[in-house]
Amino acid sequence: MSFESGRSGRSGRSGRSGRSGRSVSTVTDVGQADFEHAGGDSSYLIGDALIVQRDGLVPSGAITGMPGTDVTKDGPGRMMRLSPIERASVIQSELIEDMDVAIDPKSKSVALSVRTTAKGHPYAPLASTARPGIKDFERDAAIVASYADLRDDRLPEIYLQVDDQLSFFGSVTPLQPTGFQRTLEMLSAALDFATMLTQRVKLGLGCPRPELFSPLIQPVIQTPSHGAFPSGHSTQAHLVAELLTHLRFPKHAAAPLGGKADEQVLQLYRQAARIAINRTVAGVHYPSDSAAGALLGVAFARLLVARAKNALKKSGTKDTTAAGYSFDGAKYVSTADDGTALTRDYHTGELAKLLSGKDDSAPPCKAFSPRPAPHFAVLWKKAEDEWKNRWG
Amino acid sequence: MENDSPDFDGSPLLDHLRLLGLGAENDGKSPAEVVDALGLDALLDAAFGDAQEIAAVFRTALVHYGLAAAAVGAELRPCPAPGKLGTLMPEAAMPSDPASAVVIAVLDEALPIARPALNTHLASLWAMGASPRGAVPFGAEVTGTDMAALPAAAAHLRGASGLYGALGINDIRTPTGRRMHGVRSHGASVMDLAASNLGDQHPVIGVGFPAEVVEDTSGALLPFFILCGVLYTAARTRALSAQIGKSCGSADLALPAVLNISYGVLSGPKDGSDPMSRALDALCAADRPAITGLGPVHVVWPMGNGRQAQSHAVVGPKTGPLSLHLLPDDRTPSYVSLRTEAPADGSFELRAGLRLPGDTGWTYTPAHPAPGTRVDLTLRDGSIVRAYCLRETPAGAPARDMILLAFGPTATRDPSETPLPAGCWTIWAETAGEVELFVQRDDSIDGLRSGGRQARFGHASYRRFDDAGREIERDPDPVASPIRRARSVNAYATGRDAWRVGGSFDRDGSVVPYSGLGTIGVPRPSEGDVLAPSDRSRALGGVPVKSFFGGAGLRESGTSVAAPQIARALATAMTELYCPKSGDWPDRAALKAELANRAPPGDPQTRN
Repeated sequence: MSFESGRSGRSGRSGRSGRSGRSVSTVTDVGQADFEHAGGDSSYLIGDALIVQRDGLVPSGAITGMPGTDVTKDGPGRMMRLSPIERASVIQSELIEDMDVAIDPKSKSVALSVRTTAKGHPYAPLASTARPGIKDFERDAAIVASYADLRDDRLPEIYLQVDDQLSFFGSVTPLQPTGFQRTLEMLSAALDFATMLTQRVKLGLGCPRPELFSPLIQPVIQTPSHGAFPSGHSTQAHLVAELLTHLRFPKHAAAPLGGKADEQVLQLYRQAARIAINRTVAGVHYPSDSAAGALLGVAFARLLVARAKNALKKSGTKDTTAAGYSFDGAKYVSTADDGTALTRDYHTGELAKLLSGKDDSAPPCKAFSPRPAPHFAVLWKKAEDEWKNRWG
Repeated sequence: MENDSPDFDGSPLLDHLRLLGLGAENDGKSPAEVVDALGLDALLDAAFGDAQEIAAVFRTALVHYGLAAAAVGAELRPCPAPGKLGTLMPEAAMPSDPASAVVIAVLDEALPIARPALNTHLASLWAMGASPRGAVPFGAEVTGTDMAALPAAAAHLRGASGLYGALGINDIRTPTGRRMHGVRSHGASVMDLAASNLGDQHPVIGVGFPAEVVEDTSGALLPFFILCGVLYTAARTRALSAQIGKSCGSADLALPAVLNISYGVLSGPKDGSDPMSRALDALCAADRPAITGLGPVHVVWPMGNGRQAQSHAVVGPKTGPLSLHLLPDDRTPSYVSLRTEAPADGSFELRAGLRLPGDTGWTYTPAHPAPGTRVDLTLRDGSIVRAYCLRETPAGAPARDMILLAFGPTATRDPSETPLPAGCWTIWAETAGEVELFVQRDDSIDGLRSGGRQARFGHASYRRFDDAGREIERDPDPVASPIRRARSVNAYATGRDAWRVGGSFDRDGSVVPYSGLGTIGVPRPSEGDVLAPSDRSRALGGVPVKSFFGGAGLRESGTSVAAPQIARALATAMTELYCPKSGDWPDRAALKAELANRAPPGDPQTRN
């Protein structure tokens, strides 16, 4: 038995649940630790101890209840008292309940619609994605192979970005957990929401991965089992870039890549494009996957921002609207002089063309006002505050 | 006993590549026809004007290597109608003192001309492997004016990639364009050392070789493109002299040019008799005929990194056989050359014998072949080795007989092709006199996966390491082995007027153990051998260079990075030592003295 660990009451316990693996040894650590009990994690032993303790502290079995106070706050008001996991569940169900996913096998497209604030809360189209044809994929396999030369340079990024993009965004804008806990939680919620929908779209469209078109591509990471188009990584990366732009640089949100763009904003989108391109370098995505994912990510971000702002706004003020794009992968080509369709690459320059609303492959959808998302908005507001406080 | 109709034309290496199918789409054009088809006469004219003798030597060399253009095939896109040359540089970028300005030219691959450190005083770049554009026979030209005219918006989102994209020189689909996307490139490291932030007195000319050419492990394809690059440099330097001269009112401005060519091979005559060396010597000679608009020309080469490569041997009648190690998984041909002085009666006495790994029987080249013979030797296991028999006639030296043996790959992807057996072959030279043998280079620069592996000679008498485990730096005196470190110098760099740069440790100035050696005891007529740092110390290799996009500091090693430091020093020294009163430029001796003056003392503390 170690008496030293009894002093802070904590350090002996943290290894047991394995959750954080941290040993907490100072008083200031106390507020940050996420134990289940006040001083440590659950275990059979603490249950056992509490049985015996109660026997010692409680004189008789019968008790009478004291006067209580009824709940005054609403759901969002009480949300921060939940554990992060419980909170995430609440937000996911709130965000998802307003979505409709419609697959049209004839046009090989998936349409995502959202309930609006109009009477009766009808659905309005947020974004749609139509897949390229099989011949397009066949043609585009060549550019995936062309990118292989960059694998040597990019392998560390490729490997880490398989499941960690935020560390990379954290290099171009502050995201350290100690200062931006709620921002990260908000981003997490947004990413989970996007993933749920993106997987539906991928499954609905069923697009073949580059490895199926040639044994010479030899991707440097395992090709995932879900469909190629749209790219989940591109969706996530551009979602993060767009969300952080609206959150931290709202003045630039309308034209993030325009002539007067701020370098802080440009770095976010360059980062997003690079993450997407790295997937092509790895050999698991076509550039059109990245383009489709980028537009979806941007659409999701605009939706979440509008839903948050509509929850936070003063009554009587105007709603924030959102609009995505109707992306047609078959039209994401460049044309040679003789009219032949050639592979169209993806990078920040192409993103700018797509976002402009003037690209043939991506006409914008009509803007609409989505319903407020008060639970998500709690995190959004806290993220805004964290950014306001960044200078200390 | 000359062969009236030789079996091959020009470079045997290129003939062998042609027989392997490279450039099959060439439709059997002769090398001269290839040269004509590319419109190189116009470039020769732009380079040399009335200096017909120099143009003739260059033309001979171009024809000798002409098959290289065909071998590059699809990557070489001819300009259907080369445009007229406009102003090369904005006036604001022109030298402030044109009389003492010196052009610096970098002939390399993947040159990052979007970097401000390199393009502020860019005159022009020839991106040989890019889509046709501008006043060049093939590939794309980008002038300083073109760079300055690019809208800022082109770089707004993607930085340099946006600029290269706007210029059409970074197409990811092509091997050459792909080189413009990575973290580093050979050309970026070299150009950074040679030309970054040199200031307005040194207009910059760049030549970017096609990736396929640089990737070829034997270096057989390079001389053609080096010669084209030199022609381009001369032509643009002359155009620059005319334009700057017009702008500042000095009608007879003749800018000098310092060219850095950080490439090399292990095998060759190494006496200035090869066609490329002859051409460059004609251009660089101190007493060269006058060419309007072109001052003195200096070409700077690396000594090469082959001192320890065991790629050079000298055998006599009593030496006996040598081992020839052909490495496994070598996907490109390997070449061995044998040279000996031709007998006085003109007969071809030289014969080579080959023995397969583990075999006891020999296969020989034919006895007394006519020079110009190409013959396939069938070895005892059915493998084929191709032999070329030539007679070389270097100016002012006795004639030489040469046999070039071309070995196929030891690994092939196509199951219908049979690779040669890898392992310890034996080679033997039958001769009355001394025979000099070389193994040609068979590896590629960093980042280009050519699949070549470097073959080498072996002999029981050769020691690579001393008892303390360090690489032996010099052949012992007297020589103890037929395998020699001497004459491991870069075979491209053996013209009379070539500046050859060896590598040294920056920390103490000592020569690095791998830096190529010239001919020991034979002083070079033009004293052009100098040293520059190629590594910090034995513990820390390389010298600091910038990444391709300029955002990261990297290290790069080898005599390839020593050479550009000398090229840079030569350019600045020439400007400094120019005598305005007489209009004279410093001669080679003065430049060599100045280089020695500027050589930093080895200092453990202060640098790198």
